[in-house]
Amino acid sequence: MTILGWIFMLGSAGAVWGMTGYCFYRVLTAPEPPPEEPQHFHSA
Amino acid sequence: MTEHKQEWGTRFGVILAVAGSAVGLGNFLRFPGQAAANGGGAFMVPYFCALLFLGIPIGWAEWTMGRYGGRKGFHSSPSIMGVVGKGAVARYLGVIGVLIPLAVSFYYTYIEAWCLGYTWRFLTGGIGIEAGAPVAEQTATAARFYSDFTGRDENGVLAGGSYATFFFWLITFAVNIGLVYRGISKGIEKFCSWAMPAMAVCATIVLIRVLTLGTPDPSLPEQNVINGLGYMWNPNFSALGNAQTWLAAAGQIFFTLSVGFGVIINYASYMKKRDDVVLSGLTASATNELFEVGFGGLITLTASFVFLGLSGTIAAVQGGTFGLGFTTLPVVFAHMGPFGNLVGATWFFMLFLAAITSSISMYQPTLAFFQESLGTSRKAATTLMVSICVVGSFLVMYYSKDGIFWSAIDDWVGTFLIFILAMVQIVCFSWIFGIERGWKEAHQGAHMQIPGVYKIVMKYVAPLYLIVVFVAFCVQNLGAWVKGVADEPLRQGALLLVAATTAVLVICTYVGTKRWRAAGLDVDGRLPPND
Repeated sequence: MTILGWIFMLGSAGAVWGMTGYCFYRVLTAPEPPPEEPQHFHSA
Repeated sequence: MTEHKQEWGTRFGVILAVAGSAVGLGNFLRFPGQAAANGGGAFMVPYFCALLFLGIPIGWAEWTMGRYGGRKGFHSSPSIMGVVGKGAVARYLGVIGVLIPLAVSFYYTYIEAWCLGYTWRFLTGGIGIEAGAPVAEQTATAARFYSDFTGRDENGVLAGGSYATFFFWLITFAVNIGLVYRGISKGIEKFCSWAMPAMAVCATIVLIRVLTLGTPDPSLPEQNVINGLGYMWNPNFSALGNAQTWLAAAGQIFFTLSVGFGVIINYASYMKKRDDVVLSGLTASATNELFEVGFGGLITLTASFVFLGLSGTIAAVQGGTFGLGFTTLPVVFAHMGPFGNLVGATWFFMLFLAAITSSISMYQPTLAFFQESLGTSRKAATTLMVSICVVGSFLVMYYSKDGIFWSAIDDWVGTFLIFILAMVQIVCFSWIFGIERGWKEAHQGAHMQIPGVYKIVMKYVAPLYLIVVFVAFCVQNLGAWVKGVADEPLRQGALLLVAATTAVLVICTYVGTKRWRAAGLDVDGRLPPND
């Protein structure tokens, strides 16, 4: 395995692990969407 | 339009389901072979370019169109494309988005059954490879088992006595239909919620085992893990000057992400108006890449190299996806000592999970389409879909010789038509629906902002990239494919099956269009959603 081989392997694997970790972190910490507005009218 | 409104239970549900749809056999078997044959580590340069400029933007477009169509009460590719593409042309081209998953399911479930069958064999003693025998003999045993199990030697695997294959297909098909029938939240989401983590656990177990193999045979010191990783990752920069490398990378990205397959558009249609599609789309793509690069890129060829050496691994790569998976790797597991069968069973169970999370995503768009176009109950739509799938799958299993029949469907539907549908989708999104409107729609409820440069990417770069790849692909393959159909009756039969399936879907779309119009639905996308 050459130095460049290590760089490409660790760079590629690191990129996808990093991207997945970042995305899941963002999904887990994102606020819940507000509830859908009701489709019927409320009386006072 | 449906008996009960279907929707995803959690934000993770749709992400895991789409990621599950994308992660399949290709992540573990096709990707390493493509990378090793096209420059090793250098392959990752065109690979990541294709991911950024082709896969992710088309994926975002598909997620956005799906959710938009769902807000108008539609859940199938023809109806949603009709709305986004504003008319009958886009609607009928959208039929491809049902044809692809349906026709691919004819053979995909069969291959999935091989994975289940191999899992069972490895749990119950292996496939008959003798640990002390020469490698050539072991490979011949694995190849013979593979041929017998899949019926490659002759047509009529069912009639020829290979009932085990049929039995495993029956189980696989029943599980698929059962999951899809249970619905989006109770069936698909629930299953993917445990299957995806289970797949990650299995992949981690196999990865750890492979990376700790060291130098299993001290008399062959060059056959070690580091050299195995080097075979896969050492870059050959001269490959970057070869158009074939860029084509292979774009093709791999394209097929691995399930874009242009008709699945994402259906799954996203069950999202709510304020559900995020931008971060969800990116997360699903990232998860797929994790399995492909982070696991597939480290496991398959490394294991092969350590036990079979350079020549054996080169032969395995040349043997293609299925040769590598079902002939070479069983030999590798036989060399792993007392735990070899357990590692083999874990590996094939992981492939089975990867396959089943993909196959359920093929049945759901078809089911939704039949329900929506014919106005039938879920039960009636399931019956119709099962009838068509049984006919298609039986033909695939009967005409099993050399895999010619199903390979023809894979070439023309699972490869060629995917390019066409992706082209239709990105043009409809960026040019007919309009990039500004699409951009606004994508960012409704979004948890992250798409970088502004992607407006240009989605409108110009992705379609051009796609056209270049498609033209190069046609120049390279189309002549041989057409000749292959002209010369081989089995391929003609396969295309006849595809044509008959297309006719059914077109008729259903025609009937559906009349029904939707009569119900006052905005079939041509002239009005804004009324939610």
